[in-house]
Amino acid sequence: MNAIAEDITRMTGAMTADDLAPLRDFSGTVGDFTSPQARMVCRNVDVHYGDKHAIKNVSLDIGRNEVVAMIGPSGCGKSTFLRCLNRMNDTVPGCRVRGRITLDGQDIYDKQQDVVPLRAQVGMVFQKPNPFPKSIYENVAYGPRIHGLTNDKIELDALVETSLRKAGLWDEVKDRLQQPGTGLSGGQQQRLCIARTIAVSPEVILMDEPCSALDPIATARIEELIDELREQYSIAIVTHSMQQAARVSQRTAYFHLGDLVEVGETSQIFTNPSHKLTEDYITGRFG
Amino acid sequence: MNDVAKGHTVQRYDQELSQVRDQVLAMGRRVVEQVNAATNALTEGEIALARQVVDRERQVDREEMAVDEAIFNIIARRQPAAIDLRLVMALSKCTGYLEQAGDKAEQIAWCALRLKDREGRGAVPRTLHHVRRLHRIASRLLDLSLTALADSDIDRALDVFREEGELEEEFDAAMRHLMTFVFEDAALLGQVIDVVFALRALVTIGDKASNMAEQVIFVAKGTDVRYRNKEILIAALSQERTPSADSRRPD
Amino acid sequence: MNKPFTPSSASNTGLSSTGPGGDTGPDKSERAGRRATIDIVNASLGRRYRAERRFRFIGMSAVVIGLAFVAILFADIIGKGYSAFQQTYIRLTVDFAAEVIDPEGTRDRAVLSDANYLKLARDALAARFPEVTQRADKQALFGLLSPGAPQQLREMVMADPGIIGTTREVWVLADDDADMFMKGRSTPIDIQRGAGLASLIPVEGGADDQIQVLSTANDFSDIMSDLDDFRTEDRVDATSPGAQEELTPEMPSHLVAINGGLVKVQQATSAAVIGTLIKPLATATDAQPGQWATMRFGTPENDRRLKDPVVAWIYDLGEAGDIEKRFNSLFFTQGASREPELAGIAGALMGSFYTLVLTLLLSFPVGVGAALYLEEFAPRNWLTDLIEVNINNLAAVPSIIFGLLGLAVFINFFGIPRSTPLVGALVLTFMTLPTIIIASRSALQSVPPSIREAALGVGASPLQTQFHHVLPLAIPGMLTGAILGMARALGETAPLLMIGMVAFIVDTPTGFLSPSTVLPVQIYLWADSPEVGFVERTSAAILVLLAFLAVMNLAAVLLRRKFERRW
Repeated sequence: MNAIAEDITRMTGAMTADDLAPLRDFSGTVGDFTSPQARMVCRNVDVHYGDKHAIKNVSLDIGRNEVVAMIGPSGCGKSTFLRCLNRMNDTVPGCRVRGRITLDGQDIYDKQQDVVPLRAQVGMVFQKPNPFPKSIYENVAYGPRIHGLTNDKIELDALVETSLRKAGLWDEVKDRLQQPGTGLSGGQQQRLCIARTIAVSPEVILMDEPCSALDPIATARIEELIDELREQYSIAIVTHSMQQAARVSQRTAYFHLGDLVEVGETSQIFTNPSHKLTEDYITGRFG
Repeated sequence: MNDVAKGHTVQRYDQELSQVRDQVLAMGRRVVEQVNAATNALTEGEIALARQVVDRERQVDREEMAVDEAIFNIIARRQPAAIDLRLVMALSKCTGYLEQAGDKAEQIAWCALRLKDREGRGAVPRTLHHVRRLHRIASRLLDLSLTALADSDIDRALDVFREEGELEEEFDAAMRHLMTFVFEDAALLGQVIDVVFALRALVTIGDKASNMAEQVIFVAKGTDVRYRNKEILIAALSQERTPSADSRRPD
Repeated sequence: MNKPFTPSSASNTGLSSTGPGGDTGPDKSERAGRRATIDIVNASLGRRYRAERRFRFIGMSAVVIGLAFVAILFADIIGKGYSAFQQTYIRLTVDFAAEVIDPEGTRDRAVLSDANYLKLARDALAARFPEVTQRADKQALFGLLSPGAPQQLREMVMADPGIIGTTREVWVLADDDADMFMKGRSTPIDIQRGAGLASLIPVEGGADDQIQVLSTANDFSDIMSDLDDFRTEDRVDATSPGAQEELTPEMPSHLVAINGGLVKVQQATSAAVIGTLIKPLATATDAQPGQWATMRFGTPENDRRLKDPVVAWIYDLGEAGDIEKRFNSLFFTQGASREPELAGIAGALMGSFYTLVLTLLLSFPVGVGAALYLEEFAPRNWLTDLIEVNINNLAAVPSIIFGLLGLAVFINFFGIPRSTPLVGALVLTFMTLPTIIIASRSALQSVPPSIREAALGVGASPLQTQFHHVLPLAIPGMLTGAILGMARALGETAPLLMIGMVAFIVDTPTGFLSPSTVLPVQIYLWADSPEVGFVERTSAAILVLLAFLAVMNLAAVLLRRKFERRW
């Protein structure tokens, strides 16, 4: 907290630490937040948690076949923003979302939009691997089953296999599909969660710090998987590891105190960010 | 402008970065000394000084290896990004440039030694003012670029670009003058060639200084300005810098 | 940028307080500081471990004291109650005389049912003891039979009228007084084999049934010491050695069993006793040492319901193997009764069963539903806060209040029949609901939010999330709560008193609407009864109740174990 305040003071010259006015009058995102092949388009999104203004006027596109990484210090709103994209924030009491978020042109906060099909289209992988305490098979088959994607046992078996294959887990679990998913290792559990997500054939996959509970080897496997999944899906990933963002993403968005400070090609953000805040964060000068 | 190596949450990282930069600057100072000593040896005909320069060249090589190792460690352990990455890369390149400049100083010292052997057959003393003049320019460029690197000072770097043109002009003038000696007496050709070698070495040293200035711009602005038209660059950067002293403040 | 409290700074302060002389330089002081730290730590180490040992000891003592109280309680209840699982039966040779049962020979069931079976039983008993002729004695003899004995005979005849006219050996129920005597509850009995040769001498000038027993050894010292204890002031003159003294009914009774007969001691010296024959002798010959015995009944005859002659008959029956204790199946098959030997817990058990089943059916779905709604669906606002506070309050309301509510609302307003399992269950539902709701909510809370997120994340609707994922994980916790609530309901008495479940109901309830009582109320009723026979039955009923509670709690623990998940 202090470090950030000091940093703001340094940045803004003679400003006192508690005078955050320059940040409130944030002029706008540096860099191009649009994507030529946008799948999700977010414009002027504001999120309030009760009195707290968690996301301030954020515009960002998530394009086809690209991985967008969202980085920033804790509490900067990157996870909140991610959760807006499949309306997971609906479950949080006192959370209000303003602005326009569209998926393939359809406003997801529209009154007509049902949240259940939305979440089938925009899947989510969470920070902690959270397989259902059921068998590996059931974990993957659950989504297709509730959405009625298939009623045929053979088809469902095939779907489970495909999903597990895509998640790079099939060879490890094909002999124990009926064993509980909670018995797998952390990395396997997370890949199981990814398999569960892609089993419902989403268009966009949201990942909220998917590797924060994993060891480097498991992390590398997930990162490899993310890179493969990019062929078919749009992926938005929130991560605390800047190296991970640098490794897996094509575009990187830097959030700071609810503002989207800078968006750009990952290679540009990590070699030559335009905004001082981005640079300070990326080079480890605060955060 | 703030010191680019400062302000990390991990203070040890600050230290490592400034240390490696200090190493590069120390190496730069040594190279400047070498160039001065070699030129002096040439112009004053001091054999001992020339020998000293040749000996000290190994010192410069060792320093280059030390800097390389430090940079290697920083990359491996800190995974620098953005401005840190640029600084580290630039420092690495600058070490290379300085080492090449050091080589050139040694080359001048060898010229001094060879010319001493041919002394008494007289064109040399009349051409040495070219060497002095070119040395003055080259060492100023070197000084400027080292100052620019020390302070990440774009203005000093731009000064280097502004002044590097004088090098070629001076060299061309010297060449024309030296040619007259050769036309007069072909026997002077050996001496003239050695002097030309020394002059060429000084030009190269100036070029290396210019290269270092390019790296300073790269650190500060994040754009690679090598092989770019320096006049346009000077114009662009000066213009950018006139309205406000520091364009990188968000307000 | 607060500087963290580092060990070195701590050690420095420690140094300044203990050793002010050591600072010669920063290096030395630091080293000294480090040494001082370890010294200080070592110095306080003993105190810290002592404190820990003290704490452990206090904790252990608390557990031991608590266990001791429980052990005492259980020992008392089991000690009093275990004998109720046995019941005394008397073997009679019953003549199912046709002229008594069915003089007309119609074999009409109504006639058979109304026949005088009491006479059959009494005749059989009288035939067993032909020497009993006096009317008063006969009354006492018939007192050995339970009012249930004729009932037994009736059931035999009703089951098989063919036995009319035959003679059968039947084990009939003994009265509770005989039962108590057989279980040693009526008096402590102290039997000593005779050490000397006993000879029998008729008493001159005495009645026919008076006899003197002489022993060559000091076999009657017990009697003499009892006499010493009960000697009163006005009899002080009679203390001379060898004098004969009278035993009174205020004293413990002494009997001599010799040659198949019983002598009730009335006068005694240290070498001889004079007594009345209350059971005739088989022979009048001398008895060898060890072949005869003296018996001491610790409770004076006046304080006993069974007088000495009756004891003699029981002794006789016992000698002949005609009286014995058997497993008391009646206790588990009979309803309430005024007669202890006929009273059982079947009615109360069934009443408890119906009440609890209904309570579970009513409270579990409602409780789980309420918990699910409050925890997962209800908006957080002042109304739900109010509801939550009230649910917690409800759990603390004294149960008698629920009884009053049940009386006022269910019985008086809705007109539900009183003392039925239905109204009992309604009242107990009110009582257990808060418990179940609170337990269910905490079970729901213990389901990690990541599971909810996972389900929502793949597009499950909130209801699917709850029913497919959250509820299956929470159900063991909810069941545990429900079982604990049920256990509490099983032991509840006060509210049921208010709604009439305290009534004396003989019949075993057959449904939710038949009048019934429940186990704890039955215990309460029996504990109130004057008959000695009910004391052991009270304890036995408590044992049964405790067994059920233990089983239910064990089930709760096992459920929790079985379904416990690690995350």
